[in-house]
Amino acid sequence: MAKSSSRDLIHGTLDMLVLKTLARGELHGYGVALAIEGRSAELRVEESALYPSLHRLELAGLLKAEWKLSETNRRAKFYRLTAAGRKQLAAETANWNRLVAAVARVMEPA
Amino acid sequence: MSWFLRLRRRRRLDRDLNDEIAFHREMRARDADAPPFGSEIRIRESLRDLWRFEAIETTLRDLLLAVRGLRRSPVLTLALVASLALGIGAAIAIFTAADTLLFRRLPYPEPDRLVAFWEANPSQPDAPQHGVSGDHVLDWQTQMRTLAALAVVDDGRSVFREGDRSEELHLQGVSASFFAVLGIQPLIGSAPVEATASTSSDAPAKGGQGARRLQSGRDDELFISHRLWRTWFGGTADIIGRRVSLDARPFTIAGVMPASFAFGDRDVDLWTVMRLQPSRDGHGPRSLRAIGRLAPDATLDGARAEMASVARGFAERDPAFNAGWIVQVAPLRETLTRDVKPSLFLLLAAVGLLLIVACANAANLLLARNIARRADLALRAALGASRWRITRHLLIESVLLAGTAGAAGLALGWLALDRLIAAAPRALTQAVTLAVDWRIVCFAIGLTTVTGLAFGVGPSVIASGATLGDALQQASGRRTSSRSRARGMLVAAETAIAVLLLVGATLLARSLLRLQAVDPGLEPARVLTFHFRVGAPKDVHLFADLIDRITQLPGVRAASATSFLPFSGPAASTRVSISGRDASRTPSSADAPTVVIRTIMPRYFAALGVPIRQGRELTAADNARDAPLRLVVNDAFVRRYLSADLRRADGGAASPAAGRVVGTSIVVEMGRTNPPGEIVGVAGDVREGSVAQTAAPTIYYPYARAPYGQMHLIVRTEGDPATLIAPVRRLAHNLDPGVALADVETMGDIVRETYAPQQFSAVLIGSFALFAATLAAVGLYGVVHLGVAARTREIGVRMALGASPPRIALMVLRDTSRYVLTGLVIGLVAAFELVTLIGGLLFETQARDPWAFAGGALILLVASAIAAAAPVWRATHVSPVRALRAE
Repeated sequence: MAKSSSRDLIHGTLDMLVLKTLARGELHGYGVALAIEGRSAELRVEESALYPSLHRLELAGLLKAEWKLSETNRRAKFYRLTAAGRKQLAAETANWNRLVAAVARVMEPA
Repeated sequence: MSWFLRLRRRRRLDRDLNDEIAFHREMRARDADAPPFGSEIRIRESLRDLWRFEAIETTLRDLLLAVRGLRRSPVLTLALVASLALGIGAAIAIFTAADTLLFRRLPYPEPDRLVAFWEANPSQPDAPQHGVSGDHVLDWQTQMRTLAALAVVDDGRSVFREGDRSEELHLQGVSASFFAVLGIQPLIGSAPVEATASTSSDAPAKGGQGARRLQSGRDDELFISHRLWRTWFGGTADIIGRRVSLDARPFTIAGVMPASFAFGDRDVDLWTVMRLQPSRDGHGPRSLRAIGRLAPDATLDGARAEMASVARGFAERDPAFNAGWIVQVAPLRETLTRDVKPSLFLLLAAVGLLLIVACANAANLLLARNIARRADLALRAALGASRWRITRHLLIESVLLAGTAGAAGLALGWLALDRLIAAAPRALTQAVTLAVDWRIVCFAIGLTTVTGLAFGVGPSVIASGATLGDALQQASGRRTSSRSRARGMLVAAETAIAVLLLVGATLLARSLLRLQAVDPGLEPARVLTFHFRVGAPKDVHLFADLIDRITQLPGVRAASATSFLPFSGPAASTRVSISGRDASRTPSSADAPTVVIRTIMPRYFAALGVPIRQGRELTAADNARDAPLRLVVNDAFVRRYLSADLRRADGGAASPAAGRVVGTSIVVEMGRTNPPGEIVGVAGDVREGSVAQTAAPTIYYPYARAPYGQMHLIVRTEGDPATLIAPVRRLAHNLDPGVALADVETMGDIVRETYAPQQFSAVLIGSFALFAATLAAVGLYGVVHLGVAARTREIGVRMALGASPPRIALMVLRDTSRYVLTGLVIGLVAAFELVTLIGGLLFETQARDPWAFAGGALILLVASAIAAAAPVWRATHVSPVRALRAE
């Protein structure tokens, strides 16, 4: 599914972004998409990637989902990080930072 | 997780996803700048993978594929389902019968602690087991520590009368303890109260407090069956206290037994309480059935040991009555089903074999189909289907077939059971109710599953192992595969089992023919019999009156009556002493000859068609209370007890001279005083009990000297005996409305009933064997047919090169005939080893009867020849041009 254009996100990265976004508090799927798009001001989250990611993380036990009323008084499925999700996020954040640093070192103009 | 739950979960997840996406779209729609929603299909696709429902969906797909595939070849499917369904149906019917009769616990609490008793005298080979004497039962109850309680049962019949309706019904006289021993309570009313040590009964208790249990209860209380309550009294709640009469004695209904209750005989409708009294001389007749419940800490072996020592004590104290007698103690369940056990085991084995043949046949057909489909399957494999996937597809097909066959088989078995019960001899169904229950349904489901897997796995593995190359090659007929050997072996196995069954069936058929050819000693054709009972002892003259009137009816040749009709259960026996023997050989009363005794009315021998060998039969003049006692004996009696004396008198001549037997005086024990009687005639032998037995030494005694309230009437007619039934009933009713006729039967039916069990097994096993042979033939047909189809091209070439049709036939048959002959030999050898097991069921037929073996082999060979004929004919008519052009 990862047709790598600049705006697309590769699998693992989207999962990490979802986890990070939900670390700030529980949100529904639309909220997650908005938050990522808003904060990044660059990335566009495809629904066809977002929902599989959410469900995959839920099945893996990293997220917990619950049906609640949204801010507009509609029934919506809210996702929240579990303890395992937090641990996973920490590990992925560390990995990501290492990777970014490594890539940055290579790309440094020398 | 079951499919159902998974599917439900799947539906819920789908719904949730829809809601989630709808919410997302809605939110997006408020935001005018937002790009359109992404591909929903992609979401679903990736999620579906995620949810891992693939297994279910492909299974469902396989199932549909299987259904479609099976519908494409309806003949094969029908053949498979029909053969399996018949096998499973037969198995279910027989297994249900066997389960109830052999394996299930008796329907009483703690049935394993119930025992039954007999007295036996090993020195009298004629009657190995007798009932027990009431005097002994009273003593056992007092002396035995291993028994918690004893009860006695006396089977009989009585005229049941309520208002002006009367009918003769089966009755069991039971001691009050009967209810406690079996552990049952009436459905309505309560069991008779048993006297204990404190509540002393009015009966003079012989052996202390224990014996009182057998003597308590009110003897005018009547317990009726659930059936009688419903049919006669319409199931009214107000039943207790109803006044009725039995044989003109007043009774009060005290209880209704539960619907499921029966003891030994399901036809019993009445139970009366019998207070067991000691006889005057302590020599009560050995005629009662006794049952007991073991004490809580006792074992069967313990009871046997104690009983042996008690019986020894009896023999020492009263040798005249007890010397030589032993008492047998056996589990009750064994005694109730003992007679039907061997034939049931035989049927079980036969139906098991039949089922194996049905499964082998199904495997054979499926294998044929899968081999034919090999190219197809190999193509699927080449297109990426995993081996597991293909195997699973084939397995699903097998299970689907087996499931359908199982359902059909269950229905068939259900139907067959009813017919089985209707056709079964009474001996088989008398003791218990047969019904398909959930355990049998479970058995059927298990059987079906195992069958499906057993015949599904083999063919599947073989078929799925095919590579594309050799499958395509084979499909085009260029190579024959060694895998056809598997099918050949299946044919061999089917043949072997079919031969085994055929030999067994032929043996049983021969034995049955022998039985049917036996001369029973009387002429059963055109004889009507019925049981007739007078309401009160003073009315015994009615018998003579009725016989007189019947004799005057048009179409009647002779009419008579007897106390015990031949071939209708055991007759009474009594001791006899024969005068004219020297003093040293005069028997003491303990080992005096015991002979069968029948009391008869005049013209008995004429009515039954028994020949008189010497002298004459009893006449009306002999049948008077004050006439001198005159007797008729049978040939067996003369041979056993008189010929030795006569030989000596004749100086060694082998055959007794007429004059010597007629005129001999013997003493028959019939009452308190027994005058000597004179033998006036010798009658031909009538087989005793059943036609398979020999005649027992018998004395025919004039009825007037030992009148009895019930007799079997015998009417010899000129035409169809059935036409006399209505006139005879009318006569009896006119004579006295209170008397009842029962058991109206022709003598022919009665004689046939004695070999009904053998006929039943022979017919059933014969059908099983023919069915198995048919299946084997179908399997053979399949193999030969496929062989010809696969070699059409080769045959065409050979014919083009000038091979003659016989050569072609030989070539086609060479492989298959080897399998058939192998199976035949194996079957014959197995039969040779196994037939001895059924030797006990055969009548005057050697188990290793060469004719039966030849017959079984011949039937199978004929069936095989028929099966192979069509494909061989096709092979020899292959057109070379067309065969080669088919390339």
